[in-house]
Amino acid sequence: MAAAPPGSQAAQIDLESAYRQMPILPDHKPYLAIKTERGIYADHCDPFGLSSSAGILGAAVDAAVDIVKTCLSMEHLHKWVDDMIPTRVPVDAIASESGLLCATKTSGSQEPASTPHEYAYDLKDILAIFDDLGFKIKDEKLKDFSFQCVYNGFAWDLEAKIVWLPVEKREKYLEKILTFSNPGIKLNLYDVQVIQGTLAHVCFVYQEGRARMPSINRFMRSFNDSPFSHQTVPEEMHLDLEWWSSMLSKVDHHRPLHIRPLEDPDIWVDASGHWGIALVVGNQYQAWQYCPDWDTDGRHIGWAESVAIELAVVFIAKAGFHDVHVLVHSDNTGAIGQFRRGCSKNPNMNASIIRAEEIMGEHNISLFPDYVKSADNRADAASRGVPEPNLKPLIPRLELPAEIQHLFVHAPA
Amino acid sequence: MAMATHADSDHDEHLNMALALSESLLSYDDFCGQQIARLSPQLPASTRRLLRSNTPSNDELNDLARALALSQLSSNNSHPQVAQRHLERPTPASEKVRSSATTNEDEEDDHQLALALSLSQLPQLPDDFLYERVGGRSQWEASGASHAAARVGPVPTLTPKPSSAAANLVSASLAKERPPTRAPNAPPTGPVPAPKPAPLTMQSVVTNLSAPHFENYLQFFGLVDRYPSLVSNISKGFPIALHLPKLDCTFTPRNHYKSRDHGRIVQEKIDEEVAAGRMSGPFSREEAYAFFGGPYRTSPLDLVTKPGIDPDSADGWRMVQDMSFKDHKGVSVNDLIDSDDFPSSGSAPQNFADWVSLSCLVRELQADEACPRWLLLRPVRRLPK
Repeated sequence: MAAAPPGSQAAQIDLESAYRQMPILPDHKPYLAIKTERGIYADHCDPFGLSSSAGILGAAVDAAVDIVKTCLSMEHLHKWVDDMIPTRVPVDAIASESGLLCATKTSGSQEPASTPHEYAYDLKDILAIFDDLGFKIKDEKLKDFSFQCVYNGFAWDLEAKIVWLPVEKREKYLEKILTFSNPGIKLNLYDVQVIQGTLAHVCFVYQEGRARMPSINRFMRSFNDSPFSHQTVPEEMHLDLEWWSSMLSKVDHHRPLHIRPLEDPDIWVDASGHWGIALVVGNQYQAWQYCPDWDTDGRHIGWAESVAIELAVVFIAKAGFHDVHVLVHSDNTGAIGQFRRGCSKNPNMNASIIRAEEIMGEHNISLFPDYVKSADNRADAASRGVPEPNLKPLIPRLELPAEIQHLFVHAPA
Repeated sequence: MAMATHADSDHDEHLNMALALSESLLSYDDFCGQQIARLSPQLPASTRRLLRSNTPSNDELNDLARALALSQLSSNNSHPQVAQRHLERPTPASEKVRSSATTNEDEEDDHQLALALSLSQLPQLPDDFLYERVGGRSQWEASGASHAAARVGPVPTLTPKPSSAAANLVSASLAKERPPTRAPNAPPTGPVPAPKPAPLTMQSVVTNLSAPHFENYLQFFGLVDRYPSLVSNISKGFPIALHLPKLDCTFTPRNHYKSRDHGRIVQEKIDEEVAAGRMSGPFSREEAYAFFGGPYRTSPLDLVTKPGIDPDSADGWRMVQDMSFKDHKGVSVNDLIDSDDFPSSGSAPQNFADWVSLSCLVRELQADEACPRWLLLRPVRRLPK
């Protein structure tokens, strides 16, 4: 994994009917016959539908990629089936062996690229090799090196370091979602799979959308063994589809790919099975004690651990952080995993993630929940109702989210 | 018509001669590799022109025969002075016409002698040696031909392993060496016989990929170990499974598509494939049995839409075969394939995102292993003001 220093560019190469450029072993052709009204056909090339089809193509394409990379000393050539993104970095960036490539440059400096960069190779050098190897290239999809490219169905800007959904795709997906979001609409499993597949893909750009997927997945599972039956879209999924259509209606939405330095404000969270949850920041803490019967309706210790991380987010925003990547210590791998994935199968925990994502989106905060052993977790004692004596009450004081207030008694300040 | 036939057979004779000679080079290579390595830089231009040209001319074939014969001559030392003279005078493809025009009688004799000598040393050609064209590009059949071709491909003329700075030079030399048939402006160098595509048989290996070029590149860059069977698979065809039993009965289930419209689109696509030389047919059941040399099986055809393309046009659909469709014994084609034997990798959007985003990191940390990006960052300890 490597950096794209300033001046990095990407090109696009697609193969023309890639599978069909691959020959099949004569002895295996009887397995690939085709029948139509006109008679029987024999196929000589890699067909669509074999579980080895992609592997056969991959063998040749991987070798070609390796050859191109070695021949041109190209560090990165990204490939997806027959879709290839060769990259190049400026010659001066290659030459700098000193380590830090652009450590002094921050995302804020909008220095115009007045000096054109020099590169070690051009698109034609790559095409010459593909041509030598015999590959046919799809001319209409060919795109020369530039700062923008389309890969995996997303549009990328290497200078601005952003990725977005191309307009025509966004409008198409929006249309698709709108047709399915009439209240009370009945869908069969195939329809739901189409929606799920589309949105799961789009989540790469709309990261907050990951928490809007579990309702759809649940609906899919509800079909069980009757994929052709039509079922009414549940309310929870209908709401998520409405969220999606409002997101896909936004014109300029993009996902920033800037890496921000990780801030560590010394935040620790924990939940205990019998007392409650706690948040420790530096030498301050706040703790919330469970009401009786808190652990009903699918709520359990895992949910409490999620809420603890959610409260860390509430604190981060309330303390005035914005545009940051923040470290939070937790000793619960389940909750950590779900926050990193951005969603949970458990509706209560997913709701907690959605609330946290909303705050993070508003303040442009991204979270890095990190694991600590229970014994090392500074919030451990406080979550059992016995905070370490040197801890002072947290300032600013936090309010629980309205939806879950009734599950806690406020601990004395 | 009679003229054309004559020209064709003439051409074929030349072609066979050249093939025979390249075959003889192969056997010769086996016991005198050193000499060949020294001589081979003389061969590629004409050899490759022949191998990749759509219409190799008689002159080109002659030229190849001559070069090959000379390499035989010189290393046999039967006529050292003759060989020496020819080796000192390079005959690049561009000078061919001129040099043949100014050839004096001595040299003509040398040429004849060389041909005679080398032809007398020919190994027997395999019976099924066949030359055919598919999709406007040369296809070679029979392993002998591709093997011979593999030995005389173009890349060995590259010398040092290119550094990043030398990359341009390498590509430039590659570009320069590309066969002149790729340049549409180049005038034909000899009589152009009408292409005579041989019908495809089950034994045909249909691809536009060049096994010799793959082999040369892989060898040149030391990548052979990573792709041990690739070159052989390109020249002989890829197996669809590592162990595939011979079929013992024919199985032809109904296709999946329902509407007549789909049938039309499927037929359109198949016609396209037949025209491109990637499919053969249509056959009656008996003809198919004869073509495959025994039983065969079909899998139900289906159509899936391609995203973003008008579904009313044939382009908007991809024809797929349901290879997971089980036969009367409950076995599908895919059941016979262990997909673990055919790994395919791809770079997910996140990998690309990582490359795009990591602009302020230390290069030394770029280990190949998947290193979560946050580990690369040193946390900055700071409390909010």
